Amino acid sequence: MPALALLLASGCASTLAPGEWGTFRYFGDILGEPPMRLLPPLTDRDGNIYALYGDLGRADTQVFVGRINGGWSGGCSAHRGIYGLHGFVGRSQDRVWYWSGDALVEVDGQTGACNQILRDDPVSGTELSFLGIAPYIDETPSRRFTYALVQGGTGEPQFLMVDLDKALPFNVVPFPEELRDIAVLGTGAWVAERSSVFLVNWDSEIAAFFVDRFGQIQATVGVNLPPNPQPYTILGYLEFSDSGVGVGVMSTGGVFVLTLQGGGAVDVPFTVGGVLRWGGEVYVTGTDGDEPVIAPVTPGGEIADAVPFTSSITASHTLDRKITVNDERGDPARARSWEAPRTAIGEHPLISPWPLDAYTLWSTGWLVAGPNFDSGVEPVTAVAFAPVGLEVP
Amino acid sequence: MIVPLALAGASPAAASDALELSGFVKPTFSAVLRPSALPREQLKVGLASSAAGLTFQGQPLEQWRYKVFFVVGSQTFPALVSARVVDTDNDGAVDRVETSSSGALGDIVRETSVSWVPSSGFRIRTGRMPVPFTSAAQSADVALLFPDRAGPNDLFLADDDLGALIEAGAIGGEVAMKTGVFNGSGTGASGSERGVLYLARFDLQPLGAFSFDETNPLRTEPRVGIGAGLIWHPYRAFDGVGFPRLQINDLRGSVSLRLGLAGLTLSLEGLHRYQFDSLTARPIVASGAYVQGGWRLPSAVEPIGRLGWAAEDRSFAPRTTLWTEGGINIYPAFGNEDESLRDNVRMSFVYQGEHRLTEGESAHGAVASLILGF
Repeated sequence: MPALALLLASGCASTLAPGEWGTFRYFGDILGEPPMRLLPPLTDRDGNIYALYGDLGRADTQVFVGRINGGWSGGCSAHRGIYGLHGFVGRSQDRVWYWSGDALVEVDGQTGACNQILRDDPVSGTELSFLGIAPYIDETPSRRFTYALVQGGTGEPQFLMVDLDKALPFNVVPFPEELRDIAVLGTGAWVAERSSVFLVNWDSEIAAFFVDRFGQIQATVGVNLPPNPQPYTILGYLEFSDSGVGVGVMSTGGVFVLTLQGGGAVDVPFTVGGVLRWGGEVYVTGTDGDEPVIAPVTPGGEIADAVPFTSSITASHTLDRKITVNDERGDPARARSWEAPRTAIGEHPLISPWPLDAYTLWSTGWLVAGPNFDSGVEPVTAVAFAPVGLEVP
Repeated sequence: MIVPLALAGASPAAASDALELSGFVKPTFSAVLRPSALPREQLKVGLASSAAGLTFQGQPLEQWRYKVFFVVGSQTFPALVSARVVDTDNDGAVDRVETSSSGALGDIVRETSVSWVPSSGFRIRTGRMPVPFTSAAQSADVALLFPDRAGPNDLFLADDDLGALIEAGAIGGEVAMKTGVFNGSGTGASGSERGVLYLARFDLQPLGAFSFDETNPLRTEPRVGIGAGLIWHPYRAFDGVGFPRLQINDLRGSVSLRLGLAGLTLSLEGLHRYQFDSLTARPIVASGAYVQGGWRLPSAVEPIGRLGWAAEDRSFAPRTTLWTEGGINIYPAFGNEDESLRDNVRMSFVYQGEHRLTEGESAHGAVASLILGF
């Protein structure tokens, strides 16, 4: 009977209300001060947590891994190339993959180890540059794939499927134009259709390529953008609603909207801060004045009126006080107090161009900054992970 | 007929033989087609699911019984015997790990238990045994309707466990209650976790005692079985130096309905799991259900069918699987003059489909199985 009572009483025991924080798990001291060079964290199916440090302009990408039952790895570095961190590619049962520079990196959730995969062409030995990787893992019981636009040396760019278990390329499709000098502006994934999207600029042309789960180009869509945009002008990724509207934040501050009918920049009457995909819908997030707001994107690609983003507002207010964190940097974990916590990512919680993880169906993961000290080069700040309740209008 | 040691059969009175020997041999041929796998994995054909079981049981002393049940499968698992790192380009970085494995037998002990039976309606059993959480878990391996238990059942409780079980029956076996404590290893808890698993199971058979055997001899009188099981497994996980990190509560519930009449059997079982802890605010929620039925015809042929469903990771990224199975059982010894031997030989020919709806992948299997009991 006690177990039955517990079963009935626990129905909502583990859920978080919108804007409510879960346990703060202090995992490391990281270069920088808020807003820090950190992406919204990701979890695998087992519940291991992955926090990525870095940005597009730096080569010091690092990943921290928190295990489901507590305890964190100290940080693993894997990066290659001129550009820096692009973002997470996706997750599986007990691992995730991220894209940093020209490298595709696998992170093991049990050990915290990170390793580049498919660094070289397995036949020619040529070093492969991942110009673009879709933020999508096509996972079945027998295989796991992601989709990429890759260039070997100065050869022609190619779309291909990457078998993540065998670290092998499959279904290689040459880029349709006979060009070697292309610039990737952004990538995305239309998960509902298992489609990967690559936004590419060559000469004066810009187009979005939709690649299906078998690695074949299923659609090419012309895009209207000002000429000569800078590479990786889409911050984070293009995030697609189930109905097929992709939205991304541009480095110039605007919003980019893409459908199978076309794409282009869209004006938004508030300061854009991020994109949120939740429950099969996409939203544009940002601030109006200093208040966090959220605006749904309609199936037609229009951005509806913004309303207060209550989850972000509540989460901000909850940080206006002393918090207790679980210091998991070493065993055993200890409780510590942080006097003036702040969001470690961006200006407001839950607003980011990078995808937010479905930590649960009613919460996501976020990073919170605590006290810092000066290392002589740059401040070093204590950072904790915490789940936070999320609700969209 | 091969039956599990039933509560009603555990008599406290006269001591019988110190050793009763029974068992089964089950050669099983299976072919599994998974079209979207790597070519090497697309078709698996063989006798991998074959098994043989041997049961030693007896009542060497009045009120005291024992049971030892071994199952040996034909399939060994690859045990790692060596590993070395390889640096193919001599750059100081490990490029791959070369390993070699050798076949090894897994755990072959399914039950080693001692029972104290002070009366015909009461028994205390201790040792290693199946956890009687579901009705399927209470069916003997040789009394299953299909060559294997339903997919959802294995998903929720896969293994035997060490523990102690109190079994009580009343009104001629129409009411049966079981409660026990186990160490929880059958739920997947690892060695660094400490806790006790509590079990409660209640079965009501209002029309008379109804065996958990899933196949149904040609009985004419109707039988109904209603049951519910509950597992509560609170445990602590510890860090590498031995201090507690978090408290976990794992709750699993099952409800079952069984019907039997004139060779027709029908079983429905629903399962639910809810696990939460003191750290993550991320509960593990899963649900499953299956319905299976068979109709034992007078010609000793039994058409069978089963439909199973499971939804895992329901709290964060729901993943749904559907199982569709159908086939036929044949009882070649059904004409035997000794009624108790008529079910001792059974041939099964079954189609097994597994459809991973979320991931968009299906697998199709064909199984031919022969069970010979003795």
